[in-house]
Amino acid sequence: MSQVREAITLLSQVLHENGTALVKPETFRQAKFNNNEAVEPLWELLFELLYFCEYHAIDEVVVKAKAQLTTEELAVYVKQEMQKRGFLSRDFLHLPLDMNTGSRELLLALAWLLCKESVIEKFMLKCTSPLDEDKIAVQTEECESPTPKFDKSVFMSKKMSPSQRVQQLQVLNGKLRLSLRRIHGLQLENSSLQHRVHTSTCGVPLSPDKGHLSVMETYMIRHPEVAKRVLELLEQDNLRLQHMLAWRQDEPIFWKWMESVLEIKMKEAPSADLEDYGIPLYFNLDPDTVEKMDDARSQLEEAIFKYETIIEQIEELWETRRSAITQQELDNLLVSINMEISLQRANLMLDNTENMLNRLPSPRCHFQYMGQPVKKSDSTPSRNLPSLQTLSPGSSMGHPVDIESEIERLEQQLDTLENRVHRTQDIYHHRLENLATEIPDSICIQQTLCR
Amino acid sequence: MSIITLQLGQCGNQIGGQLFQTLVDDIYAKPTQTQISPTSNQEYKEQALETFFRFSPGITDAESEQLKARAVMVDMEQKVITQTCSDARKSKKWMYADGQQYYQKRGSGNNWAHGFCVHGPGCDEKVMELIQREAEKCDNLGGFLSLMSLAGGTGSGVGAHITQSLRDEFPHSFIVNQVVWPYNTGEVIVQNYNAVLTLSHLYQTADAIVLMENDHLHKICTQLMNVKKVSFRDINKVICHKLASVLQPLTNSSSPNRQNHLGEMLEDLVPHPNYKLLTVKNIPQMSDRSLQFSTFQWPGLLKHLRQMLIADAAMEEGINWDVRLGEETPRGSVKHNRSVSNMLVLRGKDIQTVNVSDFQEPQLYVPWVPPSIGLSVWRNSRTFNMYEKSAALVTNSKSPVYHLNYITEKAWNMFSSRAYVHQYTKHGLAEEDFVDSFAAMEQIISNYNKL
Repeated sequence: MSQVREAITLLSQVLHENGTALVKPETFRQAKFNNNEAVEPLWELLFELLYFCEYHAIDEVVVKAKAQLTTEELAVYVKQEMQKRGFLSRDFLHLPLDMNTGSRELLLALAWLLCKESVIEKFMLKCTSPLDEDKIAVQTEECESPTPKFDKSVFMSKKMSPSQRVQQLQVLNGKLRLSLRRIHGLQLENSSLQHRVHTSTCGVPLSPDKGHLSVMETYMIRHPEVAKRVLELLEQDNLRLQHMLAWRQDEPIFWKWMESVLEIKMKEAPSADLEDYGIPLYFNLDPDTVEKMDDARSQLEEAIFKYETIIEQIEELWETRRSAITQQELDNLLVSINMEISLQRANLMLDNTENMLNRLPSPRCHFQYMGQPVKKSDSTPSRNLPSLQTLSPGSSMGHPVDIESEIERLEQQLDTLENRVHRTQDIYHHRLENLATEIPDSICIQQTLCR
Repeated sequence: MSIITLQLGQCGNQIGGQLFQTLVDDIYAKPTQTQISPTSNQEYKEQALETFFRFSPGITDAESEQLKARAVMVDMEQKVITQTCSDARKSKKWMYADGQQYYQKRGSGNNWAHGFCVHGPGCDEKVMELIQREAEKCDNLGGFLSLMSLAGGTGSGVGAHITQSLRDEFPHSFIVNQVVWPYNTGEVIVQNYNAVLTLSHLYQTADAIVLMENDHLHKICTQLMNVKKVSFRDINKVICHKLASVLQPLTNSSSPNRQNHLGEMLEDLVPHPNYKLLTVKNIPQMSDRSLQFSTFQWPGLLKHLRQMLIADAAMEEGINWDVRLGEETPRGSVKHNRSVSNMLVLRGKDIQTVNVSDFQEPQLYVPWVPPSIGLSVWRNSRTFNMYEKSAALVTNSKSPVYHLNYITEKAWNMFSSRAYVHQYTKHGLAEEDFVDSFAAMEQIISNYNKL
């Protein structure tokens, strides 16, 4: 139990170090027992993590947004985002928006998000050495200035004739073009200055794969106090990384614990109402699609039920026949079954791909050729196919097939056909020899095996 | 940021020499006169020097470093270039780099076609090489400032050709052409041809064209500067004062991190591709002697400047004060001079207290440009060129249209009787080229008339 506590503490620490608000380990424990006190912090944590997944940073925007959004807006946003990412738990989606109950669901959602989006890995990737980047991050911080604000109302509200509007757009367009050119110039300056730093620090490498100092390194050599600050930042990063590594090790404990959470949930609500599906919230599906999907689903179920009995029968048959069969018969049977299966499969595939691959041999000649081994009086494969198709309602569209597997399959088919040829050849050889022995004074000259 | 100055033709070279001299005089003004702290003065100096000059090691040991203008000089005659270079050297403060000059034996004889069709292609490769060499010495190439006249043959003809090649070579750089408009009672009979041909060609390639009208400049010299016998030197001084007051370091008042890089200014001034003509109005302007006995107040200066803008006056004397905002003719066009964009430059004492709201009135601008986009305000609290307080206004407004109309009409009258056309066609310019140029000018005029 103490291990679990440690793992959770570590997790909350890692999250906090990477910018989220501090969530106490106790909150996680409370959430396991669906305690309502844990609801709000978990909503907020989810919001922050979702924001991180979307924009790769947790910055002051989140803090501002958290303060400005109402609880309802926040909850709706979180639900929407989770659903977008594929978390379709109905219990979660039906959580009340007032953030009063449902901490366990939130905990599960949180764990799902951590796992699905590999949030911790993303945190790790963010901790990189600033020295590698040839940018002076320290300075850009200082240079940030508020972007000049244009009075939007002046732009939009005024009633202007279309020609004036065009002129205005031309002005804005011209401004953009000139800005772009200016940025281009600055880019050139940046690279030329960088080049100069590199050439003038040539021969004093700090890292083995470079022959010069990066701009940042040079800057820090000139400004030791900045170097100190960077060192501090690096140490902080290091600590964070260490925590994340530790988390990596303790992760299984956490997931075990999460399993226990899931178990509790199952115990408390053993039979979730399967009928109470409804349309998933926050998806802009039109009802037609839902209906169609339901239809397809029921068709699939029917098909499964239908063929289940057949399969059972076949299995029974198989058991009874197996005991009363000789080795020879078994071999023959096996070969023919294999062949039949592969041909059926080929047939099926061809039918599926023929829409796309017009150059394949026409289905008719193919069917003629394989009518023989099936040896059923009237059920030719071509007639079988439609019934097969009912199995999967979507298959009438035809699926694209991997060409490699197609080639492999055709080769298999070739092999089996060759085998058959050989066997029939052998049989006729024997027959010929038998006949030859019956005819006196004759010599049988066998045809050489031709390949 | 660095600006490369192209001095094209006799006029361009003379203005260029004066421009660098004005810049240097301002940069090396006595620290006591700058009214700002030594550190900010140093910053100003460094920024201004970086823009227009480069340091290169002196030839003898005595000169440790020398200021060299980032300039390329082009003329078809040697005389003016040699004169300008030696003037620069005499100043002991700066000089032109050796080898950045291109000249030939024979001038273009005020014939645009001779410059554009003969000299232009002939010197193209060599001049581009010089420009490229200069560009490689810039960390951040902010753009090109071409100085030239409209009336002559070399500046206008070769200049137009070089501007085209420059655009091909540096498709993303900013190109500003400063052109000197000839006297209406001009000294060259074909000056209107030359002006039409030059403007129509520049309009396709340059990002902005700064117009300096000799008539206006002459008036400024006689009425404001009290020059009895106006020489080109006096006029050039006024031109350079205007240019330098805009180009010397400034910071944007709405976002203090923005400096007056060429690109930034153009972004504000010429966002619309149909409107590229700029005029510079500045206040106060007076002789050095009267300057000592004058004091100015910001509200008064700006009131004058604003009236200069709306009444389209070139100088503060003789402004028509009857023109007011909001007066419309029965057909809906406005009487006052409306702008696409304005750039207000404030330099000197107490600029933080200046109220610029008078320049933000929506009526000053065309309806499709909101004032928040139309007006940009730039400041620097350092005194400029001995003026304790000075303001300049770069405006992209209707004001050039009168002169455009005048020269186009005159040129068309001459062209309709095919006067002097054979002198142009013999150098390879076709009559269709004339017609194209007239069409382009008409288009420009009609665009500006719509403002």
